[in-house]
Amino acid sequence: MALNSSSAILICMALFIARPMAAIAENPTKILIVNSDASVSKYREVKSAFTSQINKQSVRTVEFSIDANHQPEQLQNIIKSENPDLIFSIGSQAYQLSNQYGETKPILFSSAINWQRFGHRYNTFGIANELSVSQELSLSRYVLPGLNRIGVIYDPKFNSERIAEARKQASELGLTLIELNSFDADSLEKKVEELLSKIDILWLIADPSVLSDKETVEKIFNLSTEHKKPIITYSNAFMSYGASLIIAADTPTMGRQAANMAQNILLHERINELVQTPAGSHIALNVCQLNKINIHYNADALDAVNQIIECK
Amino acid sequence: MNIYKLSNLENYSIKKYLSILFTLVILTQTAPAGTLSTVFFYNPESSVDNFATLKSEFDDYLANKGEFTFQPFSERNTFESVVNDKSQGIYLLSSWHYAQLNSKTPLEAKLVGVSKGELQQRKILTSKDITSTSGLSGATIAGAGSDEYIKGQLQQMLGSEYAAIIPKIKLLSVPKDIDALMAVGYGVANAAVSSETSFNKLAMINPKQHAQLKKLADGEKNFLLIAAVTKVQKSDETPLLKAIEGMQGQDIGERKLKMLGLDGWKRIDALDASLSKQLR
Repeated sequence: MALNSSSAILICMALFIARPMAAIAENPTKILIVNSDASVSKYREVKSAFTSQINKQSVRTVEFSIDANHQPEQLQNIIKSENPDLIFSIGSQAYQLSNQYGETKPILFSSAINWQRFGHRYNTFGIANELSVSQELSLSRYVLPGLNRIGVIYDPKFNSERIAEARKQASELGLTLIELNSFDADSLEKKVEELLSKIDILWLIADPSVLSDKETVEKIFNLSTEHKKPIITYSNAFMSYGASLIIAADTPTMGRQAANMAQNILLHERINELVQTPAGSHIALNVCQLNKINIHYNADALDAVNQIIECK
Repeated sequence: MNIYKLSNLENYSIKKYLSILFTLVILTQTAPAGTLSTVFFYNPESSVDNFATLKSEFDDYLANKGEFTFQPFSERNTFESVVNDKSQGIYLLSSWHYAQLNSKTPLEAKLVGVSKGELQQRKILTSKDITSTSGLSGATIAGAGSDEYIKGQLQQMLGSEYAAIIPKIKLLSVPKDIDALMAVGYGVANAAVSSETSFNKLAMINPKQHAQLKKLADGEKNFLLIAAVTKVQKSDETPLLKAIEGMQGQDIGERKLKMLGLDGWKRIDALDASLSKQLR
C-alpha cells in the first residue's frame, strides 16, 4: 500500500550504518521503532540509547510516533509498506498497537508498565520497566543497612506473584517481610500503624488498591514519619511526600539492553531471558527525610547514588 | 515610629568596621588573582548520572573556601577540550584517563584518592556460567563506564592471546559496578567487569549472587582518582588544592568525597618513589 503524505512525515529517520558482521552487511535489516509519545523524556532517552548502540550495526531504523496528530491505524500501513524485520515498541500504547498490527513480526518492547497484562507471543521480547524484587531489596540493604524487618502493603489481586517472589528473595537476603494485605479505606490507618510498630522500613510498591488516591498516599507517608520509619519506593513522584529512598530502573541502560537484544533477535542467536530485568539502577536518597527520622545511611554507598535530597 | 539617625562619627565607625570585615572576608575566602579557581571532573569508569548533585554538593563546599567552583563533565571530548585549551583548573580524572591524556597534554599529578586506606584498585572479570576466558566469544559483558574504557580493561585483563575475542564481545554499559555484577546474577549479561572492591561489596549486598560468581581474569592495579594540573599552567594551584585536600577530616567534606568513591587524598610527593614514578 502506498504511503499518503501524512504517513510519509511519520518516517522521521533512516540510517544506514556499516556493520562488521558480513552476513548482515550483505542483507541489511530494518527495525521499526514505535514510540508511544515522542515528547515523554523517558521514552526519548530509551530511543536515543537504543539508536546509538544499534547504529554500530548495519541496521536501518524507521520511526513512528503515536501522538495526537497521528492515527494509530497508520501504524498498520507503515508496517505493511516498510516490512520491518523487527518492531521495537517504546511505552505501553506502542506495545499494544504493535501486538495488534504487527502480524507475525518479532516485537521487542520497553517502558511498558505491567507488560504481562498485554499478552505475550512466542516472538515477543522485552526489557521490563521495573527492577526485579531482588535488585530493589539488595540495593535498599546496601544504602540503608541494618533495617531488616521490611513492611509491605498490597492487594493480593494485583501483587500476589510479586510478593511471593519478595518472600523468597527476602529470605535469601536475611530479611523479614511483614505483610499487610487485608484492609479497607476505614481500617487502613489503624492497620498501617500496627504494621509500622513491627517493622524497620516500609516498602511501597505499585499497587492500585493501596495508592488509590492522594489522601491515602499522604496518610501512609505521614504515619510513617510519625513512627520514624523510612519509606523505600520506586518513583521520584513520591519524593515530595517524604520517601527516603527511591530505587528505579536506569532508562538509558534499558535502551542499550534493548539494542543488544535486537541484535540477538536479528542474528537468530539464542536468547535466555525473553523479558530481561533492567540492568541499570537509578537511586535517589532523601538525606533530609532520613535526618528528620534519625535513620543512618551507608556513606560508602554514596558513589552509587544519582540524586541526594538535602533540606532547603 | 522612632527613627534613629547615626551620627557622622557612628556612621564612619560602622562603615570602617564593615570595610575591614569585607576586606577580611575577601582575603580569607576569595581566590587571589592568578590562582586556579575551578575543579573539572570527568570519570570514564562510572556512568552514574549524578552530575547535578555533584555540582551542587561540591559548589556548596568550595564556596565556603573561596571563589571556587566545580564543573563535572559527562562527555570525554568536552572535558579534554577544556584540558587542551590550557584552562586554568585542577582536573579530577581516573588514572586510566590520566595516562592517556598525559601523553597528549603533559599533566602533573598532585593528589591521589584514598579509599579504605588503599590508593589503588584492581579490575576483575567475573562470570556465573562461563568457566574460562576462551568461552567469552559472543558473550555479553556488563561494566560501568564508557565502552572504550570497558574494552580497554578487557584488553588489559585478557592480553594479546585473546585479542581476537574482543570484537566478538557485546558490551553492556551500566551505571555502576554493582549493576554490572548483579546483571550477571539475573542472566542479563554473561560476565561483568568491576573493581575487586565492588565484587567484595556484593558479598554484603547479595551473598547468594556473590557466591555464584567466579573470577575469570584480573588486571593490573591502578590508582584511584587523580587530582592534576597541566604542566604549562602558570597560576598558583595551592589554595584550590588545599580546599580539595581539606575535604578529608571533616564530616561535610568527607561526605562529598564519598560521592566520588573516596575517603580522602594523599599528596603525590608523600608517596613511595616506586608509586609516584607511575604517575610521571
